[in-house]
Amino acid sequence: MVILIVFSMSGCFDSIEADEMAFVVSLGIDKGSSGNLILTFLVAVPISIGVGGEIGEVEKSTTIITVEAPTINGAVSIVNTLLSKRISFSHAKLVLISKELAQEGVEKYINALIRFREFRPTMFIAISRDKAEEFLKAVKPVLEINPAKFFEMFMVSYKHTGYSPRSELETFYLKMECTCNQPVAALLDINDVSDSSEFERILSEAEIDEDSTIEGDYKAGEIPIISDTKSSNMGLAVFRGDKMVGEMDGREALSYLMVTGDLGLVYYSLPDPEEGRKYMPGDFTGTEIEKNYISLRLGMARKPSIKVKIKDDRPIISVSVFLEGDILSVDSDQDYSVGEELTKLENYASEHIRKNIYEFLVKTRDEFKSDICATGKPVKKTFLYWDDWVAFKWMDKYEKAEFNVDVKVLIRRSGIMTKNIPMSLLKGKDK
Amino acid sequence: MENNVLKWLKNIFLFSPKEPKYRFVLDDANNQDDNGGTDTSRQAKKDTEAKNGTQPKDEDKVSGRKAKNGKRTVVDGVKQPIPINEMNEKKREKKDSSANALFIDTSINVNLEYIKQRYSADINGDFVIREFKVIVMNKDYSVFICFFDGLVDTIVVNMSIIQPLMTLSTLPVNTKDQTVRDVVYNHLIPQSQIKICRTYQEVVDEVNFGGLGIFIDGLDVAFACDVKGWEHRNVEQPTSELNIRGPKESFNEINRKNSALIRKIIKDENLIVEDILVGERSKTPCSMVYIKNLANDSLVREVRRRIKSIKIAYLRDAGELEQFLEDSPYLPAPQMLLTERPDRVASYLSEGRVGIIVHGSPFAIVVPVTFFNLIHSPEDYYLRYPYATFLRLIRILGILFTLLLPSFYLAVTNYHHEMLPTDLLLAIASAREKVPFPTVISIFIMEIAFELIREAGIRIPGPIGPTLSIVGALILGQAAVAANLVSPILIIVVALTAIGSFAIPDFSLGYSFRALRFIYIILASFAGLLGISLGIFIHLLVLVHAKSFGVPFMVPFAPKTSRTRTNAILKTPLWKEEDRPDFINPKDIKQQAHISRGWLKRRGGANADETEDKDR
Amino acid sequence: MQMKQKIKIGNFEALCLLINMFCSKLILDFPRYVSEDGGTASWLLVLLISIVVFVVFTFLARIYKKFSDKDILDVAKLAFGEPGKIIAGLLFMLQFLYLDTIVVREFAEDIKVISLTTTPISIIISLFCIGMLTGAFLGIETLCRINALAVPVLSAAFIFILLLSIPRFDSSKIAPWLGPGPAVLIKKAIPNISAYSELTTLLFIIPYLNDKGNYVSIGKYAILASGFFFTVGTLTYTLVYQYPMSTEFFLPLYQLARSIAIGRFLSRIEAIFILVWASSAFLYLSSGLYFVTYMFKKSFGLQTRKPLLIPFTILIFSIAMIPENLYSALRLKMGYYRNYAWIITIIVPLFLVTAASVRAKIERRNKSDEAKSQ
Repeated sequence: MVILIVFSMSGCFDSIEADEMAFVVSLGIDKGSSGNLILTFLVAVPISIGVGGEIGEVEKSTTIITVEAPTINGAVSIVNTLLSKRISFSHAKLVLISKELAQEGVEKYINALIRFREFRPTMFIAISRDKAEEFLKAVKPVLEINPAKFFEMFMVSYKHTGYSPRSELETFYLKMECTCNQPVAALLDINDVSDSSEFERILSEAEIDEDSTIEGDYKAGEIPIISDTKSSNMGLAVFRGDKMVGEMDGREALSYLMVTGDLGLVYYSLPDPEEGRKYMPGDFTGTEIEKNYISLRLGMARKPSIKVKIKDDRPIISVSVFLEGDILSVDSDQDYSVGEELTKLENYASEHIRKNIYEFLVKTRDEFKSDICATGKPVKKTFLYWDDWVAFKWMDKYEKAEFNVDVKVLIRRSGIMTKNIPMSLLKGKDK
Repeated sequence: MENNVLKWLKNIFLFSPKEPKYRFVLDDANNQDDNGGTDTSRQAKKDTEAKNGTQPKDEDKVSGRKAKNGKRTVVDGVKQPIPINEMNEKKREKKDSSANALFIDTSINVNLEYIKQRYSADINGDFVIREFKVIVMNKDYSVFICFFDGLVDTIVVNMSIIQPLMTLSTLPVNTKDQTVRDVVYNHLIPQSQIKICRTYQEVVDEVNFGGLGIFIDGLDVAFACDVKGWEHRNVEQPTSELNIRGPKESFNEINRKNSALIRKIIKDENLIVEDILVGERSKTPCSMVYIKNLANDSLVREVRRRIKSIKIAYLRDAGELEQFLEDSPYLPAPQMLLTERPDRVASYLSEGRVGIIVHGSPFAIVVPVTFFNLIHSPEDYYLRYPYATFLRLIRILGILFTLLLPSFYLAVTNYHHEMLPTDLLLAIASAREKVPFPTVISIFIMEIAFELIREAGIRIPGPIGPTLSIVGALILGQAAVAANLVSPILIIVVALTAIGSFAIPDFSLGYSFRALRFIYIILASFAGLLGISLGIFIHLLVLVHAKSFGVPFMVPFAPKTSRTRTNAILKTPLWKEEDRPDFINPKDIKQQAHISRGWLKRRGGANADETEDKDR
Repeated sequence: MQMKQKIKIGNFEALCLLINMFCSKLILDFPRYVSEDGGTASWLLVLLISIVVFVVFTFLARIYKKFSDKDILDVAKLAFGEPGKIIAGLLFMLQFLYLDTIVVREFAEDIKVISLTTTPISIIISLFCIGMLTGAFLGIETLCRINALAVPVLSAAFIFILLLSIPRFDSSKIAPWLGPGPAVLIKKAIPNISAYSELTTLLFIIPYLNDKGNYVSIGKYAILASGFFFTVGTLTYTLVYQYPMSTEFFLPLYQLARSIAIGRFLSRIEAIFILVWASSAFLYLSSGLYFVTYMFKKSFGLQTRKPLLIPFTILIFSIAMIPENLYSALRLKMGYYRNYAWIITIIVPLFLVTAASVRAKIERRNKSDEAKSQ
């Protein structure tokens, strides 16, 4: 009894009510002056989200605070002098580091994030092409009231688009500290297009290959799309060690997902295999060109296998990717869903994707010199002693690597129709 | 005064008196030596101790209910003085025994005077004395009968006692060579229960309980007949253990009718109903019920010893008897099962347990009992196996909710915010914005309000009582939310807790959990999940340490006693229950054959282990 | 002529007691310092030490057969008389006291880091001490029963956490397969045998077991089961967090549990972890305190054990408050204890048992000589 009294008098040190804390949903880190950081806090306002609020006041569900300080926790102290509630990171969903800061090295920030207990390892990390502050200011979730939910769902869009990588804090840290892997992060930016007349300009500025899928060829911020929510997540940022060395667009992110085995179920369009039905290269000034495409939905049939052979101190990396999918739409009259045509389509798709993956791998080797697909793992398994592996220096050997890519696409189904009788057959050609 | 403080300090720091507390151990049925302590062996030990002059000094510290030695001890050749309360007790015993020893006189006038004086017949309004004459072997004898009006069935008195005595002697009957007493006893009183009494005390005891005393002039014995017939409740539906399937009878307040209800179910001649009187003024008849060739002898002996050694003035109810018999009165869980249903008592008796029926109480006590028996409901046996298992799991969930839900909510929202999903946390935070009290205080307010409503709901008269309490609770909760006194999520938590406590079948256990959840709330409020785990640890320790009549309370999980499936949490199908619970150590452990469904084995068909015959 | 209740401990209960004593260090920091020693082959190291301890225990059980109803202090008495018993008792008591204080300090520090951050550590340690005191007060029988109740649940929760980490496994993280090399592994195996230093509890509960000779199978099963848990735990940890990163985290299994995310909703299950862990801590500490007081009582021949509880609790509390920071607390354990504890666990009982059997043989020979000479 005495003990109980003593304990209740000692107070509840750690007891914090749920309404005494301000929950930061997203944190943005920019470069400030003279070694400082500019930190942007996107704080959730519970009243307008929860039970007591009214639906429709979506803008008021978050509030933004920007502050300049040398460290993250220093910034937290400054913000706490301003806010009535205590800042808490335990529900932070996204950490956004600006590109210029990432190019100098993110190791110290990642260490701070990992060490502090409040940041959860499943938090997302992304690189902002512009300033992080601008991005967070422009974020306006339209379909949700809860901004945390918005970020949670926004950053896992790779599962059904394939145009961004999986970039959680812990996976980033694991890859950063690995001896045979390099980290990647998602690429975010504001897409500030106000009118569809700007689309032509964007399309002409994007690096579009002749033979590629058009929809993946953009990076975040340069997408021909207009919407109320201006945030876009497309492409990936490539790191070597802890420094960012480059960006890749959505198509290359798709190849990255295919090689590492994280692909969900994505839509993939490719031009029609028949010669006469491809789209004709031309200028985009409005001349009518007939282009026929085929649209597939692809997923992984098996995990990709990577085999490495070392020949004369050069690694020969063989990547095998197995995909399966459905036909979603065929533009031309040809029926690709059965027999010989199907095999032709499969081979064409395999070759198409193979070229994508090959170019992606070559780019990582030559332009970025970083092994982001962890192709060194099979090599590591052949070693018995740790010291031998460290002396092998895989990272340097990767720059001399050769690639053999093999893709196999299997089309399983074609929607709810087994065949599509073209209208021209029934009604006669109208030409 | 300082002695008390010193004693208390000693208790705290030394933790135990010199002699360890007596714990009864229930051994195997074949191991019947005095490991449990029979009356005689302990007495023998005490005698030898007294003889050797080494008397345990703190005899009064030994936990009560043991028969006092009553001997004056000799230490260093000097007789020790007896404390005053002991002396008073001795005097009282002497007086009682002297009263007991009075024999019935042959003269009827003396008897009449004695009875009148004993019963204060001139003041006592309902005491009736009827004098008349009886003819036995052609001779006139004076007779008087005495009884309490209202306690006897007057029709039986008239038809079976007075009428035969007055008139039956005229019938010719062979009465050669028989004494008057024999003639009267054998031929003249056609009443089924007659006792021949030699002392006044026996007659008085019988008359006090609805009997009738017959005194005949010239006989030195009296006859006491059992003609009970007072107003009592009928056999109705049980009020606290409702069920859908199964019999719907419940005990009423007369112990003979209660034991009849049990005998109606177990039609076994080995079912023993042993009568013991408890209480000096009330002389409440209690019956110990057990099946002779099943129940462990040492268990029966221990129960009998404990009941017989209770020295109180007035026993009201089975609940009181429970408190006098239990091993640890401070344990936060009951150690005996009180039930209103004869089918439940009968099923426990056939497992080898002992039942105690108390006159005047519609609840019977079943002993020994484990924690898991307390969370069984009789309906588990009457329902099919899958539903019964499912219901058991729901009940356990209810128990966990009752005990832990408010404290868990408190710990998670105050200490471990990162454990909630973000949406839920923001919803809770926004709901809490308008509430002025901290969460702990809100929880306490709502819990105490619910407890008040429950307690008050028992006393609201009429059929609207339960309805009003529930409606009141809902309206109170709604109004509290509207007035921003509590957050709506808290109402849900508290309501779930209350509902969970209704799911506990045993009334007493429900109370214990309802009381304990406040301690858990306090623990959670200052140490979060660590406090809750500390609470669970200490709670489990105390429960595991407890024993109910020698059976550890949390058997069959701690200690593990048998390798077969136990019926503790998940129900075993009825046709698989071949063994009786072995922690009770019955004399015969097999209660069913290995294949209890004989129809399974048929020629040319599926075998009992449900493998198909190859020919089919 | 007091009627003493005989304490009886069942087989399963003793097994669970031992498993809890061994494995509660798994949730503290065992995977981390095994990773430091063994690199990517830390699970091989763990397997090695389990096999070594198993073999040593079989040998010990064989020569212990003559004394199969005495505990180790009685054997010490047979070997060297009263002073031997007192010295052996003090030695084991010191080991358990040291263990208890370090573990209580470590658990309190861990709780401070992961949830109750501002509460002063004295309050957390005193909470643990209250639980410890209650457990040790109620006796070893109750403790064993609660172990029998709790350990299956705790191990199921532990396996659940491990199973949920399977999607994050990557078999290349335990390559290179032999890590720093077999020579280094064998050299580092010796101080790591102290992971099984709680084996002495088995030698103390021998008189209470149901059948004489049961302790052999209990010990073997306990070592096997704990070896399994250790190996699986270390393997999982290394498969998710590769070496050298695996030596960085303060609480390895906590980190493992934190990152489990299945969908949006089922992602914060470390609540289970805190409950599991606190229960394991209470059980471990109460058993430790019970054995400390029991050894003290037995080696000095005292009558009652219970009055010793409060002084020892206060002692443990005070000693646990001595290290100034986490680093010095850890260094106590990793530096000193691990290097020497295996001596106390393995060498001392072997020595005592051999001495006792030698002396028994000498006495028997003397007796037969006397009988012949008569």
